[in-house]
Amino acid sequence: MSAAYGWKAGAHSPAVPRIPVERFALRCGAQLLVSPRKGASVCAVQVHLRGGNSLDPAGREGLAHLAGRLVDQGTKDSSEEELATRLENVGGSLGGGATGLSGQVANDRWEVLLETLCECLTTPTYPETKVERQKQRLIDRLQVDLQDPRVQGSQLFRKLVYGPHWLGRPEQGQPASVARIARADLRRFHASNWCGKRALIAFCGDVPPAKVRRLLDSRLARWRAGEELGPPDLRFPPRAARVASFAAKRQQVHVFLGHLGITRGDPDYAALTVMDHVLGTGPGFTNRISRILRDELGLAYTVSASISSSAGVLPGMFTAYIGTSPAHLGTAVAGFLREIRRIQKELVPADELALAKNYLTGSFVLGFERAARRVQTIVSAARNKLPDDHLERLMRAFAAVTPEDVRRVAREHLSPEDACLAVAGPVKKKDVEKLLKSSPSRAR
Amino acid sequence: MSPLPGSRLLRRPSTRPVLKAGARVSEHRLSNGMRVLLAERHGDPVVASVLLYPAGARTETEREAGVSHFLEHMMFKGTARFGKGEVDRITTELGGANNAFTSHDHTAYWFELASDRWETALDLEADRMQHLLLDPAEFDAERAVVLEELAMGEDDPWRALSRRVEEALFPHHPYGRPIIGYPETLKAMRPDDMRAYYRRFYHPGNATLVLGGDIEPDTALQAVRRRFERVARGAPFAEADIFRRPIEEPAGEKRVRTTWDDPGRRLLVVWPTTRVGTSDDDALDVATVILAGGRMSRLWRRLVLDDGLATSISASNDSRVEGGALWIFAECAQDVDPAKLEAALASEIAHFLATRVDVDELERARAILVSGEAFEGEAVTDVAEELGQWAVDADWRRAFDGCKQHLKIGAATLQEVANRYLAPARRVVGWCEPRQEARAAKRKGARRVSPARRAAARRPRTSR
Repeated sequence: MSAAYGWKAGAHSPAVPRIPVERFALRCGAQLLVSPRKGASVCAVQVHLRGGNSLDPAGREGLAHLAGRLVDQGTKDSSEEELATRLENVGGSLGGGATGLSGQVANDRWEVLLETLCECLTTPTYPETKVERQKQRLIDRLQVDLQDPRVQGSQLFRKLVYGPHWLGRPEQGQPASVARIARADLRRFHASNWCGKRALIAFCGDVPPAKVRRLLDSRLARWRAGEELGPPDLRFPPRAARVASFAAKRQQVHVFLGHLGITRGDPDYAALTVMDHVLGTGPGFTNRISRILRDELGLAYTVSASISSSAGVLPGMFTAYIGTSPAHLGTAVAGFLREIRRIQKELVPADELALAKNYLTGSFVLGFERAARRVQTIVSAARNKLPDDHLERLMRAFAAVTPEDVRRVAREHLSPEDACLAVAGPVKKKDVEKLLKSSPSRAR
Repeated sequence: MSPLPGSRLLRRPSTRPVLKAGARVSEHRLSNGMRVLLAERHGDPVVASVLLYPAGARTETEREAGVSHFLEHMMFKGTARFGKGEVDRITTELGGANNAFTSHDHTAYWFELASDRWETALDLEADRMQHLLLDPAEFDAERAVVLEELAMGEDDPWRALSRRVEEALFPHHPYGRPIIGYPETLKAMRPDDMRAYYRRFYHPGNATLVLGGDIEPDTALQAVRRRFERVARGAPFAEADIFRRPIEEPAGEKRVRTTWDDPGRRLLVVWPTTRVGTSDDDALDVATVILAGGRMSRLWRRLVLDDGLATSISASNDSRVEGGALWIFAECAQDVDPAKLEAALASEIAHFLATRVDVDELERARAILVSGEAFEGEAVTDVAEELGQWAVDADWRRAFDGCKQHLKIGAATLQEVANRYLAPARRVVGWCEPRQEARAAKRKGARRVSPARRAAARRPRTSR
């Protein structure tokens, strides 16, 4: 069909956005990456602090998240109101979480953003009243989440996949664990873990990199360098079929099916990304799962499957998700399993593969207009130790993927027979277990 | 009905470029009436194409509720030239992105493509503007998807509450109906009904095309002419085409109550307001920021930071072609009496109406609104969408014009406008409460309620 319309698959050359980066080692031990962008109307910054939720003590899960959330609610020199006034009055924003801080502002106010960021990063005081109020807000939110099938389904699935590993825990903790967190815990956590040697700072905007370095080096000069973090815990439960459910009276059930995934450094990352775009992700309904479950069978509005999108420093998850009516649950699960088995068994036709590869190579130019997206890309590349030309390499790797590669990586990395299944909504656990056992596609 | 802003007012095209969000914008009109806006900006090798029609919930009869949105889905289901799924397949092959959205006032289709291949979007749009198949089997399959989308929305407590509040806010007017429609109108819809609607709205006389980003205006305009100039013009949509009652002036406060099976208490307070693009609309933008824009806004400071009555507060100035709404959303803290939150919110609004804002507060709101334009103009697709929506609903020159318009709003004007719209007797108050508590309260109260009041409670839950 493409030939009839006047172009050939793969006829256009891949366009790779240029994201120049200058690297600096700050005196406090932090690594700084600056990407200058001429004419940018907005500048963005992200500070990634290694450790995050993995540092939550048992019984106080949510500590890392709260420690980050509260850094802009009072510092040694400024109240929450003063900090907010400084940034909000110029239309800027700054927010913290378990793994650091990020913010953006109109480009001409970049100094205000970075100065406020440095203050929050180094001298938060965790005022008692703010701590109690933020804790209560979080507990209220978590109690509402306890009844939300989509949230509960997602958390059950993580737990099934990661087991007792910290990745299996909810990032924001549970109402009981948050209630146990005291101001002293937060101060201790910040003093031990928010330090220069664990920080990766990325900035993008229309500012000379040397100016950014000068400002940050000066404002962070007294920030404690601290200690590097030890190696991460890589002990995960073996893949095996496990089932969980959460009952709630709703119109739809939320279905999560999958297992432990891959790291970004996996040599099969590019081939698996291409496989994802054939199987269950990407724009419109060009992938098999969307086309069949949504477009042909009309089972759902939201449906997807991917292993590469969650790949990081630690293994992500292969997740197939659908939100559908309870009457369609069996058809949906059988559809997932059938399509996974098919991509493991059959070679992907050339035109289908070309479509996925063309999208991946052609679309790279899109989405990099926003400074925040550039900053995320820079941080991700640095955390995963990717080379400077990683985008160009990735384009070449996408272009080289063959039908045999897709089948091989599908066989090596997908295990439908060992898939976990979490279902939340108007459903009973025994029905979910029955569903998984009775599915004909599970037998090889 | 009084004259409305919008697409039916044929202004003389402005071919002289105007600078918006770093883009040189010019307006052109094809001989068949189709409006074309070109927004040239060369920062990134990306082009956005946004095609809009003035078809939305506003232009539907009661029986047609949901047809605009359902048609938006069907626009991806094939023509004779580009079969089912081809729009997505071709976009994907070109490494682009596409989607569409439907509002109360318009439907928009967008493509985002690299600048060496963007013209394909025009081929696809010109074709589906004229030759949509609306195959009955595809129609039935997609109806099932829309019903799933509707079910997904019904599983969201905020959406369920806002739908009920909107019904109370705009009784007897299409703005009171959900854009997605109702299960009964969707199930009763036939391909021929949709075809008639499609023919009424989808032609050059109603269309506005925006091309934004890395384009050369002359070449782009030629490309548009090649695809669209020969398409039959069709009759432009006229306001008189659809009978609908004017938006009613509220005759007193209304209250809406829903329940949900979680411990959250959600509060919505909404007032009917004004048409998009009016000076009152600008004043209400400023009012929205002063009330709930950021942590230093009045409602956030009082209700979240100082008194701890709410866990979050936000507001939206939702102006539309025939008249809009100002929405305030609040989540009540768990250990707080909801009545206390509602009273505190009401007292802050009363204070806002009674006293003029000071210079600092006004300056802060203006600065936030002005700086917001830097973010809105960061990506060319956002620029094209913003221009297109303003063009169809009011006047594209108002897009990215906050600096000029918002700076004109003084404290006296703000107070006068706020008093005109945000009076207590004009509001709808909606609460979503925990189902268990509502049941317990009902059981407890049942012993004391008179038969007359019980009869009243069986009427629709919206009440004054």
